[in-house]
Amino acid sequence: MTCWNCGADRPARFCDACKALQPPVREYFAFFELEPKLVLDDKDLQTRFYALSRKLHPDLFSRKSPTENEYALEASSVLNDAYRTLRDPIARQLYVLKLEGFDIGEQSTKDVPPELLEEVFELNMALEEARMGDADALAQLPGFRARFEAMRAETDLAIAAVSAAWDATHEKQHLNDLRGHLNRRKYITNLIDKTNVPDRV
Amino acid sequence: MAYSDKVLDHYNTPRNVGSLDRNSSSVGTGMVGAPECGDVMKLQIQVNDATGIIEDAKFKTFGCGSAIASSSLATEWLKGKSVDEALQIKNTDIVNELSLPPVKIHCSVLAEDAIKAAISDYRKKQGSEVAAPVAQTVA
Amino acid sequence: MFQIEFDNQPDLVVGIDLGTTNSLVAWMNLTKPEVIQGEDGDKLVPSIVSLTEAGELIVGNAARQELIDHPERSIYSVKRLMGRGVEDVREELKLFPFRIAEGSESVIRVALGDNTFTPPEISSFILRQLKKNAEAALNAQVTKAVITVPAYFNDAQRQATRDAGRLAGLEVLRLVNEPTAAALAYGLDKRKEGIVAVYDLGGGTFDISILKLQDGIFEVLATNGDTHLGGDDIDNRLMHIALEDIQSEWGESIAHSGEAIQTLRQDVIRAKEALSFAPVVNLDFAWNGKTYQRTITRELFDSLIQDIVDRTLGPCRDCMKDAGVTPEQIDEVVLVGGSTRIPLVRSAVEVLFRARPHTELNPDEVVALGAAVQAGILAGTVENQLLLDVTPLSLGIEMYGGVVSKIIHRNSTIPASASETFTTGVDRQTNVLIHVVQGERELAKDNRSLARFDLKGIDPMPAGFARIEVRFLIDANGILSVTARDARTGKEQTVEVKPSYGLTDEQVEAMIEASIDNAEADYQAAQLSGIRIEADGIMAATEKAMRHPAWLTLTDEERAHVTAAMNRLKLVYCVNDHHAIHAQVDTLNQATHKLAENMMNTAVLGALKGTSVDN
Repeated sequence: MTCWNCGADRPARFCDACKALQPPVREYFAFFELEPKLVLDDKDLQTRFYALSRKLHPDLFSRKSPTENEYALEASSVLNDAYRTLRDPIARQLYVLKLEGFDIGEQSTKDVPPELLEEVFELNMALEEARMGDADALAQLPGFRARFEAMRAETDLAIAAVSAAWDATHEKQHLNDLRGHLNRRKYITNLIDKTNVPDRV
Repeated sequence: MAYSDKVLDHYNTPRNVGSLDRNSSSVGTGMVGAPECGDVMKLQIQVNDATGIIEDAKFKTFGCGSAIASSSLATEWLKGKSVDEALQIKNTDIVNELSLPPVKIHCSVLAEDAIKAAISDYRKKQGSEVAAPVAQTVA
Repeated sequence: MFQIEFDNQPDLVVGIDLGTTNSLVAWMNLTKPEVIQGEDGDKLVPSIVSLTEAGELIVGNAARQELIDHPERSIYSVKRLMGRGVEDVREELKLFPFRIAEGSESVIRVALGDNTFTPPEISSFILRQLKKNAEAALNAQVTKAVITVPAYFNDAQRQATRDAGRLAGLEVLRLVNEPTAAALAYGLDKRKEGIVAVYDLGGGTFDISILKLQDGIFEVLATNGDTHLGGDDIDNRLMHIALEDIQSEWGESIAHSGEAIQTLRQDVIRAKEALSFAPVVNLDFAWNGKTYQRTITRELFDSLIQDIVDRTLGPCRDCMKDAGVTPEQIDEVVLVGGSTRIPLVRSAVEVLFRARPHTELNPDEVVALGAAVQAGILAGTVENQLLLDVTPLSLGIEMYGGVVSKIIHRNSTIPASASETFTTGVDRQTNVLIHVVQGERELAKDNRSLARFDLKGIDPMPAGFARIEVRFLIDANGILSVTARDARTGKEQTVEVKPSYGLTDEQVEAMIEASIDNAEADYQAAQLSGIRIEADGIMAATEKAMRHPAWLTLTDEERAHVTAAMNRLKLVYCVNDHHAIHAQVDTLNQATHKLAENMMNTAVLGALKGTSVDN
């Protein structure tokens, strides 16, 4: 890699020699100069985000060359996408899984324990009955919601535990466990979304 | 973008929604799911033990429109087929019939998985344990 | 000298608030933003355009009277039509006397007399006027601008605004959201940290934005709004009542007379504005010798507009929810737009946000002032302030069954991007059509169609084998661009864009070409501005020289010659003919040649004597 502008060797984000902005690194953790971690310090991430915004925002390049302008646009879009992904725990976890070679979006039934499917199916049936029913049935919805939220909180605790474990050891098994918990969480979240009392159709 | 009328038809008026007696020895049940979407699909077949012909098929899917359409179409196709013929149904057939877009191909995979799981369950009950082949995902 | 410094300063960027009712231009005067007034002394340029019978375009206050006398040759509130299709504006047409020309399909054309124009063209006439005002006031050429748009404007509306800038001969460096601009204007020397809500009720649009301020960074957390809600709606309520009254009192309707309607509208607006300060006002209207009068109490007025005010509260609540803040967490509320002078609006805002709104800055000017601050940021004259804005609407692709798959969610910080991989559905297919929409609804048809992108030149192969990676990028202006490449070969793919509403680049280019007259006028204006700067310089230098001892070294005849040349230059200075001014500048230059030489010599002599001759 050499600087597009002056040809200097291995330029950083900005070339040491000519100070020109370089094309951005696309990996989110590397962009923030962080090690891949499942647990991040929100405050630190925000500080880094603001500091990088002050260096990379297109506003600061309006009087620079078109090439640098383009890199600023690209770099800022990566920065914003990276910040959006890394500051949200679930998005961050999915991102780490993808980074570690898990096929996100390619899972099938074999990745889900049968008990979970049965449980989710039954909950969906009961929920559908309540939603389609009369006022009494609808009155059960908040109860369903509370129950699902408790289930999600439980899953979140499990996710926090495996996340800390992976950060410490980087053992693949923790990521397998993480994926299982995330699958369960997705099912529960879908159920929670369906517990809103149907008001407008 | 043009969508086949079949898609919209199955999407708007799904066929064969319901359930069969799970405990009956002539009923096979397949319960499958797509964890990333949070979809869950139950597909059941009722087989004539004498002829080996699928006489009825029902499904219930909690998920997106294309998952519903895929399972609806699958139950239509299953009726009247022999168990062996039913195993020949591929997710690509569903994709082609419904003209599913690439992002929704996994819904057809789910339906194929459900057919295989239901047949496997039926055979288990009949005592003939034949492992169902794992569904192939189209690229 | 002042002007010459600016000549060497390439980055004179103005900030423009292109409003539904009024437009303003502002600039950064050293450290603070300042609104520039027009030749008529008014800072507000009414967004009214008229085409006189002589074929001359007039804008602003001058067009006000035309609007009454010749409503068929005038147009106002054209912002409501920007970036929209004929279908979108059917409702508006019931209330606004826009004359949509026949054959308006994807782009509306409005009739002004016998001519027809697109909304961006009409807006460009307003922008030209603002450009002219700025050039006259600053005595420099203005070619770069920041223009504000409602935060809730979609891609097509933003594109249309940018096109208007280009048509007016302005390089639009940035489109800034109006509420964000207001926050910038307020934030300059305000608190360093906190959560700020900006409530912007303009002539035709409503916006709410919630920002986090920290160390000079203005981070928009969420924005919401309604592009069809504003002071015009309030005017229409009063109009409705007045028209009914008049019909029953006079036994005839005046609705058929454009002239009468415009006169009544202005009377209604006057009454509305007075009601912000008085509990009771009289609405007086006279037409064809008949008079109509009615008293309007603030109670009645409040009851008439209560639902309009209420309609702003839903977006405010949604915005707080999206921003993840409660009313208690909001430290300050800023009011923007003339309609926020209405007491009912102020009290509703105060109740909702549980904070007394800021009103120190003139709500009509605050957006333009903020645009000037952003212009300063881009020009490099304002440092340590940075705006991080968001996209107001989700961007999605139409999928199976007409369902939308969202790829960039609303309230994402911009620039933002997303990539999707597409493939072919049938064997040997060589193109893929992508329909991009903007909005929050589930079905594509309920959202705003932005454009259809045709990916062409895909190598023929079996269905499902092609891998076309498409990258969607929303830039800092909130405008979308799309690039595509073949993921297997890395080859860039052609993307042909068919905007659903709006002008193609080619159409804009053609319009710029077609407006060669305007280009000529621009050239003339630039020449004039340049030569006047030169004239200013030489006149100032000559006046100074006349007080110099060297002045007395000239003969009476030489002095008379200089004085005469000076007076002739002053005479032609205001004539709009740069050749004439140029000739007189040359004459004065020649006439002062000896004077300048003598000044040099006396300076040298003085230096030799060891004394200063400088006064």
